[in-house]
Amino acid sequence: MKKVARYSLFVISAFLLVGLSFACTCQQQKRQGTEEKEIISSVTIDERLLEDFNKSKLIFYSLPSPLETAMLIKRSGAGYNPDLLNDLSNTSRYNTNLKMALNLGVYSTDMSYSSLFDQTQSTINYMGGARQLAGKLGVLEAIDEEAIRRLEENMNNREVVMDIISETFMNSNAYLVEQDRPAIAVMVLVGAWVEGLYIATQLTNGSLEANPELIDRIVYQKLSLTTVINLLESHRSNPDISFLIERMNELKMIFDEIKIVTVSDVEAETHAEQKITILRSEAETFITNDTFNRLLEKIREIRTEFVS
Amino acid sequence: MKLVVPVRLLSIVFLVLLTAFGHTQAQCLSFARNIAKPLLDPYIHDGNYNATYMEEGESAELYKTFFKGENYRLVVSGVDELPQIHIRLLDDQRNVMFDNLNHNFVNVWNFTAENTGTMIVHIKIPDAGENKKIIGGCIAILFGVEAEGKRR
Repeated sequence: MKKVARYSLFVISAFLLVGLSFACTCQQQKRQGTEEKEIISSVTIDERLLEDFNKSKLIFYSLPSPLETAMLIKRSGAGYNPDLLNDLSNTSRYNTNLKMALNLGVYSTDMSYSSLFDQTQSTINYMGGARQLAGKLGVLEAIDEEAIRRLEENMNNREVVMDIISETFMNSNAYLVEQDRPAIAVMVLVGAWVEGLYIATQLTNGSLEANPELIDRIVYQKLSLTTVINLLESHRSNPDISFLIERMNELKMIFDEIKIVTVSDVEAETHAEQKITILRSEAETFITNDTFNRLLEKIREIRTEFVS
Repeated sequence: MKLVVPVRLLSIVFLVLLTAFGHTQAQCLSFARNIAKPLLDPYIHDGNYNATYMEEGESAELYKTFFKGENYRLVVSGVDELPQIHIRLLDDQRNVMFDNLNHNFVNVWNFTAENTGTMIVHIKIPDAGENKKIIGGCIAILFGVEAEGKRR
């Protein structure tokens, strides 16, 4: 009977464990309480929205993906510089979950950046590097051989290439979440974001004047950094995530010196027939040369730490 | 010894639950990839995965920075068993910029950002009626970005 009782205890414990793991399985969290009430009290919103907001809900934080970052860099008129990419020979050095995950993100951004500038061989090589790291992280199926074969066959069709890249990035993220490793998934996203910021800042050659549109993209990453920190905070108990929070807070101290002043609030103009809404607003940004130089240096320092 | 049967039964139920949960998660990826993602066409999926299991009465929010001059397509898709999803786009002051209640609960909409700012996608699955069984299923919130050659 004792054996049966012990077994019953084991089964009940297992149920509790599964129940707990069901409660939070991906990059989302259920929030309640004072923090939300504080935010609500400062603005006027309709009552139904307030009612919804007060209920427990899921939160997703969406960072600019590697593909969107590469598009933003290209549309700013910046060029391609292969010397900025993380050397693929570094792959074998990444043996911790943190380094493997960060550099899976880094390679994803390098791959996206290469593809947007039609760098065929580089794109394929970085897909290979990402596949190796996905394998080491136990999510090899996220980037299967079929994806690489399709990539090779469609290298002249940029839209298909972008689709394959976005699919593999989604798969990596989703498989990690499915394996109940959401903190690792967050590390991939952060690695990808930092690499995009590194490439963008390096492409300015340290000048605030040479490419104002690229500077604008960099300055507004201040908003994305808030999202990065919120995302990391939702997994703070993980020691690797704590390390990343420290680094991101160092970056935030510099970003905080950048001023984004709203000139006019957001106004929406909806065209129902075209199913489109245009979001209009005005803001001004202020950044000094000194702040920009320290921002460049801090990003370079963090990125070096990630890829070393 | 009479306890052995319930314990075995509990073990089986546990294994079934574990398998079912893994299956549900895998189904959400499959749902996002095969049902939601095609609705982004001709926009290119940005690659971010935001899909999960939700039940009637639950709500979710997604925080995303919209960049100046970019065109986005938002798709919020739920399994057929779920009722129509209420979608709102809010600015960072939580003012409503778009409400699909005014557009017959449409689940695909395009946005053009004339300046950069953080926006919030707020979704709500309507409550189940009183004394009705609560239905749940996968939902996916995906963003597409306009491809190079298709920009206006």
